[in-house]
Amino acid sequence: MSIALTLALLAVGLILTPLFCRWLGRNAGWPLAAVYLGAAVLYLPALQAGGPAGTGSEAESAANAWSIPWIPAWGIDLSFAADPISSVFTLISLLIGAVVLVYSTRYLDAGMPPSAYLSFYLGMTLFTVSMVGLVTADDLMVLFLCWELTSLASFLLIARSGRAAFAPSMRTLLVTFLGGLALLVAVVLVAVRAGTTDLSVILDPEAAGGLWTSDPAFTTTIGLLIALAAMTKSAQFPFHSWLPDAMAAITPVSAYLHAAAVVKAGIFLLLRFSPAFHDNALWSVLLVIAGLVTALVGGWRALQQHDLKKLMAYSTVSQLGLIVAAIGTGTEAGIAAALIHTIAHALFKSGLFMMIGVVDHATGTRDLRQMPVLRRALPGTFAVTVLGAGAMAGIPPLIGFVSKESIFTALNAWATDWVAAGGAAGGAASGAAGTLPAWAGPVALAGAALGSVLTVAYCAKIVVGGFWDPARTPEPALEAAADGQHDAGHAPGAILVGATALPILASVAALFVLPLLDTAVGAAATAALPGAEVHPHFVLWHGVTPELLTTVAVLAVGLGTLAIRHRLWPALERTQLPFSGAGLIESATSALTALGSGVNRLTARDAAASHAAMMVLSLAAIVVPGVLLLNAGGDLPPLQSNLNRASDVVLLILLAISALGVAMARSRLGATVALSAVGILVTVQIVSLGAPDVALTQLLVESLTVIVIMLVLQKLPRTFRRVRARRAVPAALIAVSAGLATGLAVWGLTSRRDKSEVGTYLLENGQDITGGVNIVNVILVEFRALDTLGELSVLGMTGVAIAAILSTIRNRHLDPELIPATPGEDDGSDAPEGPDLGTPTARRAILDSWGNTSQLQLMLKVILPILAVVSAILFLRGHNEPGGGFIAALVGSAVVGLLYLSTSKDRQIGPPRAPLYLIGGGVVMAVAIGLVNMAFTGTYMEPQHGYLLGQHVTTSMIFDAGVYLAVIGLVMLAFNVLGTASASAEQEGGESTRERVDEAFLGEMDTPAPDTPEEAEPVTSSIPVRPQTQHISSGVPPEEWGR
Amino acid sequence: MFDSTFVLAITVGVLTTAGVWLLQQRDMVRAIFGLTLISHSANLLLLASGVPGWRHEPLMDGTTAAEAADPLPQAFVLTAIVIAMATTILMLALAVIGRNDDQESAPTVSDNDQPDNRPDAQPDAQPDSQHESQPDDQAASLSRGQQGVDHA
Repeated sequence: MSIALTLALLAVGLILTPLFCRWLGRNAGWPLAAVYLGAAVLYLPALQAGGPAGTGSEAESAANAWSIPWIPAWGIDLSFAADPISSVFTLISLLIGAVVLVYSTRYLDAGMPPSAYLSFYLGMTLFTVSMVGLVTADDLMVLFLCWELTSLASFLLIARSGRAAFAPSMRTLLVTFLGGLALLVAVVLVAVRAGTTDLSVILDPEAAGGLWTSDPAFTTTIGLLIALAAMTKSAQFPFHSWLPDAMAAITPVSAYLHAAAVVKAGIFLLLRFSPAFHDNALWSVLLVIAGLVTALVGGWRALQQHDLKKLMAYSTVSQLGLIVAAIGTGTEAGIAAALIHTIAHALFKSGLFMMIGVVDHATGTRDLRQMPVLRRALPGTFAVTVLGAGAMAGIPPLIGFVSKESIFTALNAWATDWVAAGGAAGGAASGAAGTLPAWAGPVALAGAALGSVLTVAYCAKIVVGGFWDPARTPEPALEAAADGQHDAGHAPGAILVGATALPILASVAALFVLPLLDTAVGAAATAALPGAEVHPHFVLWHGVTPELLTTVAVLAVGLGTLAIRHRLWPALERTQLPFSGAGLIESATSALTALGSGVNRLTARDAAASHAAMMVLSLAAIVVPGVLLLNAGGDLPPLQSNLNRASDVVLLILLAISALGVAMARSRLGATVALSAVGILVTVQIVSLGAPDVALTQLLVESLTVIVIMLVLQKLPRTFRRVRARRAVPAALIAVSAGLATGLAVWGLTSRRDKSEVGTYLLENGQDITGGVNIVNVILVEFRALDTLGELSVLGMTGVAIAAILSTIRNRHLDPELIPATPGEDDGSDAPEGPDLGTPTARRAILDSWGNTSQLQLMLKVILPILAVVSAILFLRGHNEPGGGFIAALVGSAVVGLLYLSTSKDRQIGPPRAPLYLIGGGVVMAVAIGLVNMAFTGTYMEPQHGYLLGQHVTTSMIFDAGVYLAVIGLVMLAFNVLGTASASAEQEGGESTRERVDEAFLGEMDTPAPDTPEEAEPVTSSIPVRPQTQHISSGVPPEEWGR
Repeated sequence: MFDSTFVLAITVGVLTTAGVWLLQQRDMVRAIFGLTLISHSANLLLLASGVPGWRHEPLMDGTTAAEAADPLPQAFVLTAIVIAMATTILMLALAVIGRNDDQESAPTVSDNDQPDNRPDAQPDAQPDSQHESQPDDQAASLSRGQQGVDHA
């Protein structure tokens, strides 16, 4: 439970951070530090947690664990548990975090806006919550999420440092997310194989039931993925370059994240999974080698730096390398050594980082070459630095000596103490791992010793170069500051120096409580190596051992470099590699970006052609060989019998001719005629397939669509563009492959089974359930009513979308003058005087439009009532015979269409706002009846049945009525806003498209709304409609809520 | 031989071929016609999935469940037809915006905005002017269109 309280308190701190920052500014660090300390106190009961999970008693583990179901369907729990490993890392995070927060209250400049502090403190607390969550997670998913959260928080803390930090922060994010991906793969593989995400089960050798022993290849794969994740996070070679990059963050961030916390997350992960992999040969060898190489590379690069902070970053890299190598040994001594060095490093390195901030504040530079003799100006800081650097160098009797000595011991004994998987049990299953050659231990020791020589050398460089030697390139201002004569405001305060000293002094104090460390580290190491009882014994004096001799040699050589420092350091600082890790990441990123946009370019066009081409070709590439292979392999069941009718063949021939007509016609009118021929033929085909409702719908839709096409064509040239050969050839190839693919797919993948079970069920029971005979209609309005509701919303939204899109287009794009498709070609839109037509009657009959419409008008007087009645009948009988809301509405729309066509010029049908009201009303009606039904039946859309005047009626008829209204609305809107053209607007009483569209929203208006900002005046309307349509086109911003 | 023939499959293939051909053309209206053909073929495909061996109308007062066609694909297709109508109308509305329903020279930002209002419009105009001399070049007009989008 205490772990839950710890996390809860941290979360409260996170939530309160904005308030703290608003009230206290930079001093928000104080209450937050208190929160951290409080959280640490709350955590203390969990320290009593005995051994690793599974070994303690039931009651004990219950006291230290906390869990609630999170995604029960997948068995994922939000569960946390305290064990000795998590205790070590939790306390490091909380205690060092508290010190760094206190330090920040003085490090940050006063008087900045609260947001500047907020982004820092929020990032820090978010990081701490996720770090504590990570180390205490008892579920793989939670572990992974917290892992990624620490990456994100780290990224945010770097990126907040301004423009110069953007690129480094992005590189950091990329590298750490690369490891995150590896971890994700590992997590998923383990979760699938183990059938649980419970970490304590997975890592418990008994409970996991041979998860890690049965399949060595699986174990090795997971081990490599985990190692990869940890190596990116803990900045191991070759992923180390993000850490120096991250120095773009401000010093408190580096002191916390890059010394104590985020880089230790990788160490934690290695320790957490050591129970599973410590006896895996590849894991062990990989970690030891990677760790030692990292230690060498980091040490060497550190020595090359003259920026103190970069130097410190590389030194962190090298120390992390030593820790990883120690974990890699997989022995009790190695794990214990890694733990003690982790603790020691967190203490002295965070202190050293904070020291850089102090120096930076005092001198205004972090460049060793410019630093004056600081030991006189900053005696306190100097003393602390000597202690910290001494600890890092491993000078006895500081804590670094103890921890480094243990690492030497562990590495030296690597070959003899390491036990291969199954080795203890003598199993032959994993005997391939074998044992290590005897020289491995001493070689590893030599590597670590060489790394330590470099460590001593750069520690000496920090102390001597920074505090002792005079500046190599003196800056007068800095000299003056160092003498304490000027710039007193920059003199570091007691709090700043105190916070810096605290962790380092704590590392000194730890020397006096070494037995306490024995217990803690022993417990943690036992947790990392189940089955072993680790009792490390850290002391300063072991007697004369190989390790002690190594240490003496290391110190001698390392400090010896001081003698030649005046030549060595500048020479090293000059020799830089021709390439940098950051540069490599950049070029990898830009190569990938180029690749991505290359792929993107295949489809990212405004024109539909290339989108379609890519989709079609991919489809054909899969389907054509797929179906042919299936067929060749005899895997296809035989086609059902009786599939073909003679009419199918006739229709195929006619359809092919018409489709060819659509495809080849250059005349737009010709293409339209051919298209409607296709529509009619498809309708006949549908009838012959036994789908009368579908056929009726198809026929009506076809006729309405043709009317809309004609409205649109009047605004366009009479012919299509000429198709050039360079377009025609690839287009034909793509088209043929598409036809081949779909044809083969239909032939190969359909009609090779019996009628579907669902279909049979509906046929047999539909009538009993609904009382309707027309099964297709009852499917639409009852069984799949929700789908139909969606469909009707699509219809309605199409109407609204057309009006909305047109209202945002500028006038000159709305009714543009026709441009001939080919230059010089007359599109025939301008009517010349014409030939001599003789009598005025003849002229009128030919040139005046009203003469052509009178017949239709006469006919409509008869037809319209009939159509209205037909529409009503279709509507009413829909449940039992072909018909229903859609079909009835389409007949009703035909009425609208005929009315529109019968006028001699473009006229608006119905009141201007009727379409939108119809659409809205239809949707509301359909939704409402669904709710009413739910009130009665408990199921949304389940209709009620009853009898009215002897007729069977159901509430689905009201639903159908909603469909009816929406369809009519859409068709009216399409006619009204698409029927106008530049020619019609010029006529007496004619309206432009703009006017029509605006009226669709606002109701009748006298003049069209102005287009240009100068003319724009607020449109006044008697009816208050909030979202007015002219704002975008006129440039007059709308009134908005609030201030 | 006739056992492995399925005429409807050929019909679907022919309609798709014509539709995709039209979709590859530059004129928006042709692309719309192409999509109409493709939706016809998709509808027939859906109906074919109901196994056209049974072709009696699913009106239960005139046939038996054993003979009737599968009603489920029919309901799907009915929905699809109506939605295709809606999208066709929307696309037709889009076809008449701008000039000559050309898919490959969409109005650019500089077309849409007065340059005076946009201080950063000048750099955009620079590459445009190079292409103005060859308005027929598809690639040029394409890149113009994209530039407009990028800077929007």
